[in-house]
Amino acid sequence: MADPRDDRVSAAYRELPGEGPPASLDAAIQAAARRAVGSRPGGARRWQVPVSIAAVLALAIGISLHVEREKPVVVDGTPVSSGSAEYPVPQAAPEKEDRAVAAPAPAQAPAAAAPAPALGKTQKPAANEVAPASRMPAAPLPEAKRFAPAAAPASPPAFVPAPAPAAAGATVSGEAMRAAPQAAKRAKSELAREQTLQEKAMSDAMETPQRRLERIADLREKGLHEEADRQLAEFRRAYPDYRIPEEWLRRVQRP
Amino acid sequence: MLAFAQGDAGAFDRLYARHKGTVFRFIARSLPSKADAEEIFQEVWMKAIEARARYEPRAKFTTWIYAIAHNRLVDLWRRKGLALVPMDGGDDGDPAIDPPGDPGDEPFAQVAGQEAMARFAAALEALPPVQREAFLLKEEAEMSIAEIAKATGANEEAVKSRVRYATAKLREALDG
Repeated sequence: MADPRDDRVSAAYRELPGEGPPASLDAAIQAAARRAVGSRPGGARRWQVPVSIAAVLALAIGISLHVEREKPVVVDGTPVSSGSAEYPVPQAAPEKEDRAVAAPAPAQAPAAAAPAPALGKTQKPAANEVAPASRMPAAPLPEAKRFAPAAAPASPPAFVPAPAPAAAGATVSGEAMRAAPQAAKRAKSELAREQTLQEKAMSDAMETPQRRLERIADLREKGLHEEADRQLAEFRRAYPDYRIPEEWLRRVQRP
Repeated sequence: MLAFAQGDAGAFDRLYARHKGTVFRFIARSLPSKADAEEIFQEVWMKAIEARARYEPRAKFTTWIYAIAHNRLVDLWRRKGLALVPMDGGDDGDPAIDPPGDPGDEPFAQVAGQEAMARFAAALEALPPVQREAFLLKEEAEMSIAEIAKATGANEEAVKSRVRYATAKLREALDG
């Protein structure tokens, strides 16, 4: 399509005095651009949110599994570990086990005990017989408790419980039972917080200075000066370089 | 713009330096108030900064930035109650205007006089907004009819007609 063109008119247009934006406007716009790049909206945050959600979910699932496996069984009023399919609890020898807990194990105790896995799970061995791994009975759970409130991407497998040693079985189960609802609650609130942050980021992206000024002017017209003052202060924080035109200044400032 | 979206602040400075004059003049000559022009100019660039992550090079950057400017101007014209009716086809009561003649008809020297320039500036200001916008996009932003149509959301025939009528009126002003 041929453009309608008149060189005389074009030449006359070029003769008009040229003008450009004032230097203060240049500075404000360029500062806003630098600030925007510095804050990198949508850059780093793009992966931070899903990663933190995944970490929180992994943590919650890990703790739930741990609690499920470590559910205590009350035998004769004494809570003991219920064990698992891999580490069945010999139900026939609770008395013996209780005695073993109460007093140092006699020399024949290991021989009289049931299969080795059951011993490791339910019977407290003598101090000099304790395997290195079972010397840290409560380690996994305090770790889990320490990491639970944070959204940091801690490695999830660290919270998948290894078979807990029998010596601390009851204690660990009790702590896990207490910690699990709290951890789940924290995970839930963390998720809600992430969602709120995401929604806020989206609504911020849709907002323009002009719309905010219009909203503040509306508040002034309705006589809601406190709210208008608050939003104006927020506006100035959000757009420190934005020059509010005189006409708008009269509408948004407290009369 | 893509480099800026990737975090290169220097790329924005170069882009801004290249386009600020033309964008500013386009806006300033579309509006009677300088304060309004500065406000719109600032909003256009703020919008461009905000939208950098969503920028896709489907069209030239020029078309994109002038489309933002066009939308802001239309918003302002509406707020101020200015008529947006194109008045392209002579339905504004103007007598029929001949399309501009051949560029070589008259020497440029005739345009030089102060009076002619004053009449020209006044005629430009008096153009209906959409005609003036189309003319400014063509002369100031050096956009083609197709690009103007894309930036303003109008069809090419309408844009061509607006430019034609604007040019004819301005030439008439020059001729006195």
